[in-house]
Amino acid sequence: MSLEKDLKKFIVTRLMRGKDSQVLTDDVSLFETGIIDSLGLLEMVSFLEERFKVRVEDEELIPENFETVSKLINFVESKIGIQAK
Amino acid sequence: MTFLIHHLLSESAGKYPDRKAVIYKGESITYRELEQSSNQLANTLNEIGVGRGDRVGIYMPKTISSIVSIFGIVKAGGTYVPIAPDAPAKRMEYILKNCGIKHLLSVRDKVTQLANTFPVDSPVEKIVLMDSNSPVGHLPIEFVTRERILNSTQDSPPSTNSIDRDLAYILYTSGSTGDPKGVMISHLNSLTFVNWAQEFFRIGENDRVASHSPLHFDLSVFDIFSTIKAGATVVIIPDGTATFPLRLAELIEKERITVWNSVPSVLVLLVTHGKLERFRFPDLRLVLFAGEVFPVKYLRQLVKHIPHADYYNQYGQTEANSSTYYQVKDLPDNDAGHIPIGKAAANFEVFAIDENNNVINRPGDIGDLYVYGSSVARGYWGNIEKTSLAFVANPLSNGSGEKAYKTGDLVTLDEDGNYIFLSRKDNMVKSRGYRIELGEIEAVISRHPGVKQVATIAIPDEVIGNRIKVFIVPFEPGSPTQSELERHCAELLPGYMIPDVMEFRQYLPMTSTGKVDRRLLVAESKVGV
Repeated sequence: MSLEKDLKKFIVTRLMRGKDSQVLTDDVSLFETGIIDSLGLLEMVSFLEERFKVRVEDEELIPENFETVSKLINFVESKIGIQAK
Repeated sequence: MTFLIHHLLSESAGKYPDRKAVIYKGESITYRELEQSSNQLANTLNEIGVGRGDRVGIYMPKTISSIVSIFGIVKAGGTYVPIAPDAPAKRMEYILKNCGIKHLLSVRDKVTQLANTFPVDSPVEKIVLMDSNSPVGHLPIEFVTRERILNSTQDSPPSTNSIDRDLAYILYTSGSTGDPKGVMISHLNSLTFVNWAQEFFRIGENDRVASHSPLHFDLSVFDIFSTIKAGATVVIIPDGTATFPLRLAELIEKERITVWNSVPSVLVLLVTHGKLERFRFPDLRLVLFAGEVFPVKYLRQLVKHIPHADYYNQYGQTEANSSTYYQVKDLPDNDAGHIPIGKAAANFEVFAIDENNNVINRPGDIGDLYVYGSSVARGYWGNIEKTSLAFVANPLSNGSGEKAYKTGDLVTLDEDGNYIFLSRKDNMVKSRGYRIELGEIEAVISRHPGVKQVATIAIPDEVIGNRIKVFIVPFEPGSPTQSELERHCAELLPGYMIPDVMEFRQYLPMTSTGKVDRRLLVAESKVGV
């Protein structure tokens, strides 16, 4: 649970920066909505690396991992090797 | 005769009817189809009241439909006004009202999103849905559907009596008083650059030119019109793809892009995160960059990975298009070195005037840069005051009344006669290639009732050019909060103008003359943002 909460909090406070947070559902495209641009993507990587102690490689910077909140959760969980409840 | 920008399309459609004009995500449209579709749209627009000089908004993601929209609008005699698909509602409202947009071209998804925030008192009377046959929701606006467009005649556009001084498009750019300014570009203004660029860069029918910049950003003018003039193919980079450096690199190689044109920050991310060592980009022959300074350190790596391409630094502003160019052959040894902005393009006059009103002509002299010629815009829509400050009597024309554009950039010359950009004379900065008037951000934040005083500074950043930091003195400590102020900014400013850092203070340092001491704020911020 805290993974999802942490991720959303980071997206809302650091990336959406005042945009209407209701837009942020689990399956909305973070890129088509302009919530994350390429620089936001790198900020997200720094956040993930620091907060969850994982290392994100350049080849992992792909839509399959970062497109939506759900995909991000799956990606981070697989990185830290725990299973969601 | 070719004197309107859509003539470029009609000529290429005559010469290369079956070549691909535009590609987007695996879909494509030939020159014949683009000519016919834009004729149909132009005839539809003509029937619903769009005539010579009318402003027509384009509000949709960049796809094949948006290219059809551009040509349909100008063929109907109209002026296209691109509105960023992610623009905040209030900014969009300002643009609609500022230049009086009665007709808006859009797509179902975007209009559905708008339904709750669409301003009731906007001038928009009709929305043309480029992708749908049924109206959207409860908006009190007339909808024109795709079906109607497809039923219009495709053989020729309506006759409009347009001339080359008519406005082809209006591009909105940051304005220092808190509202964006609409730069008015005529067909002649646009063609002056488009013709030069197509010839100079030898864009030919076999080129595949990437279209990366959004339509409201003037780099898109080259991507679309110089490419269409050549009978070449516009390859639209889908919005999501550009976000992922590796995907972008894959797309450039797979789509066999031959010409790339963008702000440097996109290329910097490609160098740092695009795994370039995996690619060869054998087709890429020309890389153009503009809009901000390209850090030498990263440009060197790019040239090393793609040694067979030619690299050009282009310099310009929306108000006069790209007026100078510099071919990068030898990079400075030192990473702190600067790449010149170069010399004037053909049919552009560029000069700089020093404090004593003399034209600078020796290395090291410093002066204000002016641009003169047919590319110089008509001014800012509905803003005579701002227009008269930037578009001034040409200081070299001895009272003939011809207008030159005063760029506000200070430049010097190198030993080879190339101009070198030094600094701005005002508070305009670049971030991610976008122009930002620090005054616009201050004006918007000042409108918040809890804000007593505000100062905005730019902190240089290696990748994006500048980061924006604001200092806020509230009337009451703790109110507004940072998130309240961010929400306030997001309602009025595009994403790239929302400050990266906000700092609340009890008071701001002042200079002896009673102004906010921005220099001190900048110096303090360099120690640790």
